[in-house]
Amino acid sequence: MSGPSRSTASLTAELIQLREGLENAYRRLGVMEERLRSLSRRNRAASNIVEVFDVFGAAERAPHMPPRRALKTGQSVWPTARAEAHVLQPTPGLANLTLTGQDLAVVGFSVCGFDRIELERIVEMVAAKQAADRNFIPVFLTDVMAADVFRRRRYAFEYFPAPDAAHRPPGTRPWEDYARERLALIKRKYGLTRVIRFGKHGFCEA
Amino acid sequence: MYFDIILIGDLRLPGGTSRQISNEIRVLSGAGFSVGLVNVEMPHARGPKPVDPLIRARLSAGEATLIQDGLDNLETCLVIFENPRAFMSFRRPELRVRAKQALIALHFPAVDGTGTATFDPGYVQQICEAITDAPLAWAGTSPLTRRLLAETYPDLRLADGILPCVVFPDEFRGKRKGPLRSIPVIGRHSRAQLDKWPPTRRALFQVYPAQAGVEVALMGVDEELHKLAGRYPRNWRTYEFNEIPPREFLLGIDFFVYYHHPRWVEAFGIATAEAMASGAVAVLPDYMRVNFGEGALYSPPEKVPALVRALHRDKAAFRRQSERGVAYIRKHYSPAAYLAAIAPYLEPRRPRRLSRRKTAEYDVVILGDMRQVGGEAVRIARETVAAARAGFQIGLMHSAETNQEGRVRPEVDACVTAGLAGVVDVASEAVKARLLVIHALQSFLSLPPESASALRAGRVVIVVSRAPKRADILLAERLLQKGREHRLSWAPVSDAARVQLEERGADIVIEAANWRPISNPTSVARRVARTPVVAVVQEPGGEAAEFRKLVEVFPRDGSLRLRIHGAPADKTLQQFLPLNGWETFKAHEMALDKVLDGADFFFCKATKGEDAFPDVAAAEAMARGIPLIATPDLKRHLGEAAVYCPMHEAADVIRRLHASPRRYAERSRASLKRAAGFHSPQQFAARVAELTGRRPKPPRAAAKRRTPRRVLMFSQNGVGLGHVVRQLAVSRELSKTHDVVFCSLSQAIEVIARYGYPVEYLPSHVYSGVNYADWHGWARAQLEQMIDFYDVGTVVLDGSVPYLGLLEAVAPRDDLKLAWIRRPMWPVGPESSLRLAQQKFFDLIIEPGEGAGEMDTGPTVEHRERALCVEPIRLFDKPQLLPRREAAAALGLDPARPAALIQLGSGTNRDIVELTDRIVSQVRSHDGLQVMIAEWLNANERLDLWPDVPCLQGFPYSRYYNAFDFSFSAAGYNSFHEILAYGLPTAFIVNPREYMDGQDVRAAYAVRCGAGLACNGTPLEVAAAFEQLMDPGARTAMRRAMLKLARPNGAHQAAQAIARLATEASP
Repeated sequence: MSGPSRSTASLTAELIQLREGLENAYRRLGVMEERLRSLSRRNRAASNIVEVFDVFGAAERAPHMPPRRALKTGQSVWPTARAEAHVLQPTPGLANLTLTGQDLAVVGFSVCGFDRIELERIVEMVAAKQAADRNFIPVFLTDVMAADVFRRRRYAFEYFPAPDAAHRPPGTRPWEDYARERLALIKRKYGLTRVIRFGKHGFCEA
Repeated sequence: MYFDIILIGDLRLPGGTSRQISNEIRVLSGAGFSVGLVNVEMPHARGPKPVDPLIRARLSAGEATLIQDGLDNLETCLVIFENPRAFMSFRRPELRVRAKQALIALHFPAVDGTGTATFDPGYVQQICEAITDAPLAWAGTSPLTRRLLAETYPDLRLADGILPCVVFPDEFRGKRKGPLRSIPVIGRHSRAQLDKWPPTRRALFQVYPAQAGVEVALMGVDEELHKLAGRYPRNWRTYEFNEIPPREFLLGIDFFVYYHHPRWVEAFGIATAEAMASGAVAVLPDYMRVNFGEGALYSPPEKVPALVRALHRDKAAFRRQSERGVAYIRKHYSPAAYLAAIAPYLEPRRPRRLSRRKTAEYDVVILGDMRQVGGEAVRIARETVAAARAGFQIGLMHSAETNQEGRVRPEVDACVTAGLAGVVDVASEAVKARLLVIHALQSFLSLPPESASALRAGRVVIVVSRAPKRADILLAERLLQKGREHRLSWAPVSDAARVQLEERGADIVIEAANWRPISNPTSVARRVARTPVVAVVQEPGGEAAEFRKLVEVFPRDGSLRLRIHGAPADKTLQQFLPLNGWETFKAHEMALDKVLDGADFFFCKATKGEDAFPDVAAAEAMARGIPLIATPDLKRHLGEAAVYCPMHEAADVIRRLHASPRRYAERSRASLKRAAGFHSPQQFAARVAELTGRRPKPPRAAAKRRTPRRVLMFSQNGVGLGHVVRQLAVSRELSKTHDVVFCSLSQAIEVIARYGYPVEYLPSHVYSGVNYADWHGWARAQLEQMIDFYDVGTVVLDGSVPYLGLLEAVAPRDDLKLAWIRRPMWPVGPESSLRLAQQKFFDLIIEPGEGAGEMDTGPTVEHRERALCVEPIRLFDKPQLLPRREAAAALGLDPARPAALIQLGSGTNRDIVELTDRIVSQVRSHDGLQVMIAEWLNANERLDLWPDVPCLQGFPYSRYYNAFDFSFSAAGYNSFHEILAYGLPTAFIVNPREYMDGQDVRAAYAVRCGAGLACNGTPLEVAAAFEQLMDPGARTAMRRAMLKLARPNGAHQAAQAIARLATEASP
């Protein structure tokens, strides 16, 4: 048996309240966890962390050398492009969850070449700016494998590797071209009109 | 990419701006400047639309380049943003132009007749500044637009002069000595739009009088004007918009009298300018003086008839005014005036002359509409491959038969990508071919004349599957023979088409042999499924009616499986549900080859009487040794190759053949024989040799690739790491022969990279919180980029969701294979059924074994027939685990004391902190027990919360299992099978979410076999589990039971199967 039906307005109000609740809880939890950890450190009662990372029987690579391909012919002569999907608006992150669905500008933040601590600091800074201004949604663009930094805050991010020239997987065209195409794709995907760059090199800059 | 000038605007919308852009291109290109065009979409006109015909003509003539790629790296001297309204909702964020100067060209008034602003200049300027760093100025295309802009927005930076509209005066000039006749002829032309006419009947007749002494000629009339006028007076001649060429119209009037509704503001008046260029005297409202100065006469409407009569009487004055008008246009709006206006923005050097056009030479150019779905694309692709492999140089030329949007079919594009053919671009090069093969006459007739004339061929063959109209045959003969010396012939694809052609085309040369489809015979033995699988191919057009006939004669109970390529729309399909055992594919969804690859029989019948049948698909089926079942009317096409029967008997015939391996093998051989005899690439090569007069080179052994094409592992973002770990396990085996790259929706990319595989991340729609329907398109785009760059031949999905974006990227391409590693134990539900229905798109399905498989009641069970079932897939074999002492040392544990591992998963969809806390609190009552908590790599929560309990971070934990005496664990696929295989006594605390795989079933199975405990996580049950697990005897018994259930690692089997598939994908 289904219960009495509820109006859209009532459901929307509840959704907003839930988001507010989640946003508040997330912020409160963050503060409490930080307090707890610092207390544990001071009392020398912090949990012991044991790290293992075994690369056992790693890939015996049979490297493939793809044939180089010529640049694509123009679309008017050889139409291969498809119609693109609508621009995506990602989650505003847990700390600003109430910005969901507000059709805000999505701004790219290029955060490449940082260590985890620096990355944490930058992401915190952006989050604080977002909380203060409440007028944008960040998408982080990175070459650092530190997904947890973004995941804990539920921020959208894009990763594109930045191997040095000697370690780039051979492809059908130069890596630089590939990286440029990816950046263009990501900009179109989120409708990024601005990418704010932190660090010495930008995202997808080979 | 550098161009002298780049024009950015909406190039698709017909109207004044497109016309101006077309004229600008013509002038600039004629002056030797290179012109690049970038299309942006007006906010009100989103979606696919073809480029405006006027601009398209300029592109076809090679006067400009439509820039599609490298938009983030453009360079120019001058960038012009055409029409600010196109930038009011801008959607090309990648666009970047390095320029020296930038202009925003305004083609219309900044405010309309009601005083309302037509755009937001601040916003537009911001967008334009994001595209280019060049100094930006606003330029009206007429003095009026410039003045209104300056008055409305005094703070804007205006260009010094205007960027004038262009008129080509010589194209309108006629011989005019004075008025044409004894009575004045007043005329005007404009688009049919009510605002372009005076507001009332009275005002209309004031300027276009209904009087016998005046003749009125109006072009651009419509129903609305007719309503306004009541009825047209007898002295009026009326024409619809562009009913006759404007020049012809203008040379037939003396006075161009143009008055309109007060709410309309004419920004420039291109029709007026053209009229003045033709020598007609323009009579206009006074506000237009700013645009046409002394070149026109200005008058209130009520005084127009008197002014016209007076000037008509004074022939000398008429002639003087006419000449003034012509001179004014030449001075202010001619190509020379435009070039003079734009010169200050260009380099102070002579424009570069376009280099002499190169000539590209080919043995064979194949011309057709390369976007056609169905057999045509395959026909062209096979011909290209056959001729290229025989050593001929092939060019492919696309010409759209229709204005419909579409893309080159993947089968054809693959020929270009593989370097077997070049793309013919008559806009940038002249083309010379020994042989021109025209597939689909209409695509030739649709060519712009300049393009057709850039093609030179020694021999032309027009291939005909259905005879065109007689008029088109004659037109083609005339166009192709005009001024040329080549031989032209017509080649029907079948006898039916031959008869039609003979009936319709008089005096044409018809090739003696039919132009049959080409296929590649193979001797691969057919694998026949337990349930017969029948492929049917429906050509575009009439799919619904044909489908209905299939429904009438083939069973829909699953006793036969049908794979139908060219299925009708979903609405039609829904009428016939249920379609048990039927797999339907829209023609664009799936490569024809792949549909046939999954079939045991091919059924075909004639469509549209005897005119047509899917000849390409039949040839492809025969080349695969698939027995043909056909209706008797196809006997003359298929000879001995098919078994013939009426349609209603086809199902029985198929069943009988399927039941007899001997007869099946006979029919399979008959198919192969026919394919070799009638459709072989060698025959086609010989034919091309004859037509081109070139001997084919001995067939090249297929260019040997140094290594097979790459395999792309596509891993779903699961709750844990199962998908990634299974793919790693398979990849470690597979990469001995194939190079593997990863595209991961899971964030565990670091693990993949550490194992030595190139990996890219594709954020999932769930994590990113984006619209699911839109996400697919972007996923597809990234996958296509990866497939293209890494030269991928096979894509392997591990997950339970065959994403639409993945299917769209891979399934339509016959040069790509798609495999699915699909672990069992799915939950029952409509969502599962929908996902399973997508298995029709996969070339290989691998089902990893399930320890608790006998208790699996999920929906995958009944589909096992089509899957390759392998042993459970694990990352390690037992001997690869570290011995206890070594493992304990690595983890800082004392091997002499008991140790327990808590591994409850990622905590993504259940609270594991509370569960862990309950377990940890029990530990304190067991002296000497060591405990570690495993934190998943993709966990949301950190588990370093218990000061006396170490937290294990990293990967893979199972290699350290020997350090532990028992564990508390979730019962996900990987953990469960690792625990069983490595004998780690465990209490399973299952993840109860109903959409998860059957963790409860696994735990129950383990309990039933004595190979584990089930624990619901309550304090009481945790305590009870501890009691048992702390008992060495109980642990030993559990370990023994586990080892009885242990099975070999299926990673090797899975890798072998994928390697075989990947080898097929690297011919």
